[in-house]
Amino acid sequence: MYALVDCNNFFVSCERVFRPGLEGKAVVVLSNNDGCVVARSNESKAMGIKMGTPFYQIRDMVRSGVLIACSSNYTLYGDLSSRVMSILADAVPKIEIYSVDEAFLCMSGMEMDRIAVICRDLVSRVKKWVGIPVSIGVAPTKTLAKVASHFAKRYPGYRGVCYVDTDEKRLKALSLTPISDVWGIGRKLSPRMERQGIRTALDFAERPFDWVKREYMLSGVRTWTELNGRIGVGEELPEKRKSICTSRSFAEMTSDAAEIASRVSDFAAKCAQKLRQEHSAAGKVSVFLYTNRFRDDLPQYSPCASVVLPVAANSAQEIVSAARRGLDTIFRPEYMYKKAGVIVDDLVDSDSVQIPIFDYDMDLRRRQDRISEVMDKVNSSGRNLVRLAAQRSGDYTDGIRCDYRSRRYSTALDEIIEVK
Amino acid sequence: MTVFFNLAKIGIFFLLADNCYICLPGVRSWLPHGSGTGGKWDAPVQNRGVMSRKYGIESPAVPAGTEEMPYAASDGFGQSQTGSQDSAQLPPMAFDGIRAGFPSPAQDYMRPCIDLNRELVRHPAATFYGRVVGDSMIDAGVEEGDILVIDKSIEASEGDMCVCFVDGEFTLKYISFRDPSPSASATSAVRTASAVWLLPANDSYPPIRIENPDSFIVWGVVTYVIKKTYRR
Repeated sequence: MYALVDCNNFFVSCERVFRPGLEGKAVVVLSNNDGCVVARSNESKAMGIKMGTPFYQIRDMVRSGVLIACSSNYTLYGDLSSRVMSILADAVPKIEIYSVDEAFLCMSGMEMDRIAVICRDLVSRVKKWVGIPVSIGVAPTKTLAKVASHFAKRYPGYRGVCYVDTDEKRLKALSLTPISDVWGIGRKLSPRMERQGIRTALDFAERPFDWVKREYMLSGVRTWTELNGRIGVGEELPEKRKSICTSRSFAEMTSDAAEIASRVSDFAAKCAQKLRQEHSAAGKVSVFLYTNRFRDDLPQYSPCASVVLPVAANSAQEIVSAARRGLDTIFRPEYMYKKAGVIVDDLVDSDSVQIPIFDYDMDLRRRQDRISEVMDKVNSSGRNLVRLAAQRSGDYTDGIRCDYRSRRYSTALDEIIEVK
Repeated sequence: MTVFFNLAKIGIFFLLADNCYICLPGVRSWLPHGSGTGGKWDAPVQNRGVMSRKYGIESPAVPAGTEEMPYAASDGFGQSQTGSQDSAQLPPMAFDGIRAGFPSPAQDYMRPCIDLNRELVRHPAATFYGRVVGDSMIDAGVEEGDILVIDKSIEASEGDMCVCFVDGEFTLKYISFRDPSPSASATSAVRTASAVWLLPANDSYPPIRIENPDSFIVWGVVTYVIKKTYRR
């Protein structure tokens, strides 16, 4: 049996822990730079606010006080997430953290009674200890556990825990689940499935194996198997990431070449730092720019350029200079840019970088590695004390908009709650 | 996984063999304590895993597979900025590092330093901090500016000092389920389930009777008060 533990409206719930006055009110959390809605309370869902709604469309509601907006405070959410996860990890022998607000608990070999006790206890414990409400779905496979957790979340009658542990419940649950809500199907595949007459998860599960295999190949077969109650998705091994992206919107649109170049340098240096943290090196550096897609009145341009590195690298110098070369090929001064970013991919382990036999300056490489190491140590406080001249001063997130940011209540001693 | 990381790091440092002595973070992970003491020494190497183990102190059997979290450690979530999580990090000591000379007689008696996090925080996942504003608890020795250690996991009982949320703000009071007025206690200690009083430790403030339990939350129980006495 698997249990999927899912935090309800996680970012909003995090804000409510330290501002209990937000309970029962319509709240949204905005993306970085206060761009759009990334999390909604049930009340704001009921008001019809959709995920991804741009902030300017709801600004009037926020001003009039009908809706409360919070800038995202990822430091806070990250800390509360690890508190929740540690409570889950203490309760069962094995957990698999799936995202910031979801984890699978592996409960193989446990009696159903015992699973029920653990799940009931976890719902109340996480709520009491951290202040975050969670829903739990219990089923023989991960995909079904996801389905069950949707029910647990949607219907208060389940009191936070829904079991899909018999075939009868499974068929009933699948018949009530739209195909687009199924884990592993998503928005990309569901239109095609709907054209083929598959509207619910049950429609899909009842198709013959050969048909699924022909139409949707391995990933479809996997989901189909899981929906039919047999395990098709194994345990995910913690893999190294295949790419790393650092990007931000600018507070104001700009067409200033120097400003954008220094921003891109910041993003590239941050990517290089992330690479070193996980002992990876990148073989390719890509740069992208966006104009403001919500401004129909302005010309739109969203180019991307990739630079292939001769030898995979992770030093700030190499990643930044590659990003700058890429930027030079796509930057055009006649547009107003809203967002830029750097992606590093073709990642390899930094210990197993392929080194060409000829034309390679091993000493230069060693020196760069040492410089990176010293930079990382000096910068370990979190501030960018040592940086390349191409970068801006201050942190790379400086200057992004967060007008409604709450405090970092749990990670900064000068921002803790005040008690009268 | 820790072992793997350490091996990987050693590998890297051997590549840079001639200068590995400058790599203090690396030296730490060579210490034999890397995996035993709540993982503090490993903190700079990992991201989420550190937290789960830090909070997992009570149960030694933190499962394998939780150490390296599969999701991407993007900016806010990763918290992998070196040193930000290992608040109780101690300076590296050469437990096993002395290769020549007479072995230290203290070696067998080495104990980890006192860790206030461990002593004062019984439930790390449920412990938060608060700053005192005002003087309503002055007679209990709690003054403006003091830091409260607040444990949300504890069920508040009679006489506990609690952080409560009343009328839109956090307030620090003793919690009581008995009517504090002298006439009430004279009759009998009638304990009505719905009645809650918040008692200040300052005569110039009256006790608060909670009329509507729905607009009131016991946010957490105060377990310690930290007070700064040094004046600079």
